[in-house]
Amino acid sequence: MNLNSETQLVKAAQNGHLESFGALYERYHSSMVALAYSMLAERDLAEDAAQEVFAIACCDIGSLKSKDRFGAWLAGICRNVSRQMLRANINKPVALSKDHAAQSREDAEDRREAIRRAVWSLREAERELIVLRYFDGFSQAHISEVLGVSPQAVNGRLVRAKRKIAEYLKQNGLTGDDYEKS
Amino acid sequence: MKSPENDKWLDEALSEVIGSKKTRTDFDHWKQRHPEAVEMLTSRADIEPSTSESSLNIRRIIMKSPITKIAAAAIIIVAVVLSINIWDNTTPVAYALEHTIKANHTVRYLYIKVFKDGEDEPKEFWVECNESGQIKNARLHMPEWSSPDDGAKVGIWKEDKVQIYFKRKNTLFIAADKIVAEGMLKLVEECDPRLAVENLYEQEQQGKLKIEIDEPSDKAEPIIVTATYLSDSASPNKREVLSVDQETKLVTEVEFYQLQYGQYRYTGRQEYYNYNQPIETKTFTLDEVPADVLRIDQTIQEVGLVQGQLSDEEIAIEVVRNFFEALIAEDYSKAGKLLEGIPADKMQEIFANIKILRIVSVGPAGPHPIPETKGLVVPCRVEIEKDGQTSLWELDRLGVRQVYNQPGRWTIFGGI
Repeated sequence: MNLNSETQLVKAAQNGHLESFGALYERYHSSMVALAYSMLAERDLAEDAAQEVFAIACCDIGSLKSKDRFGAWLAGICRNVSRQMLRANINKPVALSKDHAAQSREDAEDRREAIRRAVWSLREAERELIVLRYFDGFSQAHISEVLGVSPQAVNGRLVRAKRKIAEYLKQNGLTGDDYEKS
Repeated sequence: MKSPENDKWLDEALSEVIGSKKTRTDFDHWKQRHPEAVEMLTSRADIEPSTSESSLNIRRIIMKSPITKIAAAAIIIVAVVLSINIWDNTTPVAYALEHTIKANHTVRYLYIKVFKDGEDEPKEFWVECNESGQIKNARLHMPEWSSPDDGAKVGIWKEDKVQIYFKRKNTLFIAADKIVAEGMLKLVEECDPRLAVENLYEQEQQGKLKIEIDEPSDKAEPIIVTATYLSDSASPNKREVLSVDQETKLVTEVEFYQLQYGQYRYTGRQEYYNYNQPIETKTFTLDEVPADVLRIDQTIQEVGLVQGQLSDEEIAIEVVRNFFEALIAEDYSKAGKLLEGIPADKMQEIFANIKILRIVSVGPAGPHPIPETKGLVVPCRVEIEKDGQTSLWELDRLGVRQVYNQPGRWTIFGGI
């Protein structure tokens, strides 16, 4: 990423330059949908959350002091918006319906469900990382901007989170061999 | 099982399950739906000096050019190759934090002592990790000084279940709840040397601290890593001094310092022992609690009141009102269920010498002064009779929150 470019875009947006904000929108919209999805587990809700995130960012961009941390700032807004949506939907199951596996007897669908369960069994920070990585294939560099950690840390944490998923799947009877056969 | 980092199957599976369809990014559409936000941003142009639009357009056009992208990629590749060469040529054997991060992957068992300056008794932690290095079992001994309100306590953590024995109150609290479990796990993680080193490494990469390494030629002596946080970091004026075993590259001790009046003052230390020496299974149980312990087990009974359609503030007031009404009616079973699930006989014992006569006022509910509790405070006044005297009992910090692992139910917490 061209850091200078992003810093300048932020600065220009802070000066009221809508096209620059548009460039930031294009750069981060998809990752905000992914981040919201990691918390809300529903694609449509995540899309709505991302819209709201940019509305808030558009109004509050003047308050951003560290212009080189726009992605991490946006991610903070996204987490707050998603939490508010979760609270508003408090009586609604967040991630996965319990009897889904029973309803769906197809092996392939069961495997997909097991993988979803494995991902949503992770802690929030790990789940964010996994969803960002696989949602739209974001690079580790982009993830590091959004999460505000170094690319090395992203790499290390991804490996650990994937190990956890693999372990969860193993405990639930799904291995790489099973998956490849399906 | 194939390991995730050497295998493509998990990548494919995760891509298939999570990355089902491309996101539609359409700024024009967003602008149409958020005219007020757009207006707020563009109105900033009236108060701030504007950046040259044309220069930005040119930059965007340039960066979108395929030739520029290829050129930029080439520069990045050259830079990476150069940096690898420089790394290989200049630091073939010298110690770096990465060595400890790598060594930490082998840790399965650990015993930790946390000392605070001026206090003799340490916090103690016993930690067992699984094959992936994730914490599997933990035991905590928290001395009186760590929590003056609760007093000394012993805790056991396993996945989503926690047991906490409050020594002073002779009370055993058992809950199966992610929030409580994560809270306790956080206590353990705060003194986990593996995370501490990763954190230092990250902060160094971000230029937020300065690392100095003293690697003695005598291999029996520890490597000393001094990490000084810079003024624009999250912890300015802080310094950590790590002792690292030269052979294993594992951290054996961290000392903490705070800059005061131009001097770094020692504030405490963490000591790490018995790396990978298996810990007995019984360490991760609480069999030693006294027979007469007050047991509050929220995993085997329903606690509190159902929220229904009430708002958080309304249900908090309702819980408190129901609690005192139950005490007025001397229904100690009901009152106990509204106070975290305390057994009826214990409630009767607590209120043996106090009779609640009437509720004078309850509410309004407001935020709890300790946000971490995720609760509300409901001030209330009740008329009581004690030793034949009638008086007004004012409670201004009565806390009410959702019951752990019982969604939609609310209880009084933290005692009365």
